[in-house]
Amino acid sequence: MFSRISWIALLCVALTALAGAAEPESAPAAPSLAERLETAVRSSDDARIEKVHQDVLAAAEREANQYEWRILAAKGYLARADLLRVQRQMGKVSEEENSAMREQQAIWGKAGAEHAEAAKRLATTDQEKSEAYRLSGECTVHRINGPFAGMRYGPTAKSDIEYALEKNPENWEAHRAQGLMFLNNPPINGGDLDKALETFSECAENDGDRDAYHALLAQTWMKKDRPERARLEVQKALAGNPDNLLARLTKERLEERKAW
Amino acid sequence: MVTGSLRALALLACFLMMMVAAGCSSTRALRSGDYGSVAPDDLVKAGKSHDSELAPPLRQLLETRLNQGEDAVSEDQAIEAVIALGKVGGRRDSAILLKVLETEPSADVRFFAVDALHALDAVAFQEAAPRLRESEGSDLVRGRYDQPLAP
Repeated sequence: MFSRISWIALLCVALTALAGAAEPESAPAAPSLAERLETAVRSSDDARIEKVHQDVLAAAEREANQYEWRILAAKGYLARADLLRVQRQMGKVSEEENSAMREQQAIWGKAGAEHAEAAKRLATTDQEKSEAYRLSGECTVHRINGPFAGMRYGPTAKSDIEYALEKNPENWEAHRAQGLMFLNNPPINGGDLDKALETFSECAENDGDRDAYHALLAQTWMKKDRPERARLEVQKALAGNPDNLLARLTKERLEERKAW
Repeated sequence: MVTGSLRALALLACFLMMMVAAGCSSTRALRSGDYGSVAPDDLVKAGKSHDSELAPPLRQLLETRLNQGEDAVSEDQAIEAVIALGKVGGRRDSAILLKVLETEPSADVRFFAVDALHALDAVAFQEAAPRLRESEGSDLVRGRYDQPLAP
């Protein structure tokens, strides 16, 4: 009797072990990679972002029908393209380097937009749709590497970001994306530095006073030729995150102008 | 030839008068004490004017904020007024800046007041800085006392 029970127990253990071995390797938990990606983005270290992003892309390939992975994949491309934009705009790069970086920005923008497009289809709630459209809009902006690309992608990017805000007016990242358009576009295409200041200030007020918003406020004040006002925002950004590349480069520009 | 030169001179005079008129209109609200209609950009222009006559209305604007609060003068107006006063003011303006540093509720306004006081009256700054730094609640403003911007 005892022996029969033992055999049954042994069989159960063996079957369980076999079932575990046969199960395909599952993707790492999304939240942990999401946190790793966020930490890497805050470090402004492209090599670190790239490393985490490769893991994210592998997971997104395995589970292509998962909204979360598509969103993270798009976020990774966006972060890398954003970093290039900051280096181009605020760093000291040659014309040759500038155009090579702009091309790379467009490549990452396209890849990010493809993941965001997939996320749009997979989104089920208004909040999810808002985030997918926001990422699609921001990635599409990076595809603009000349006047023709501007005519082709500008309106799409703008309408995606507006749709993201329509779906979730509390999506402060979408507000930031809209602020970036006010900051970077020429006035004829809707650029407006005062609106950029207003938008980034609202973001900082409503979304945890994050360093990214203060760095953008500093960049906007610099563009308005108000180094005094930029200095305070740089200090706020660096107090929140000493690695923020935009804040660090803006500080360098202020030091050059003896306005630090 | 002479007529042409005279015409050019007249045009130049007209242009200069228009510029002066535009400058006056941008500071009219400030001079009249109608602070509700003073745009922050007008205060920026006041700072760039190098017109020391604008120091008293700037002082008055800051006094109004301290007495009547945010509804009378916004934080943004106060910041621009402090920066402008740091450029057009003199040693007699150190009293209002000290008052701002002691009682102004916004740390952003106090941040700029540190530089303005340092620019206008280095002696008053050196005397007051240790006491003000000690009682300062914001890390950013406290840090500014150690590293004020050179005038």
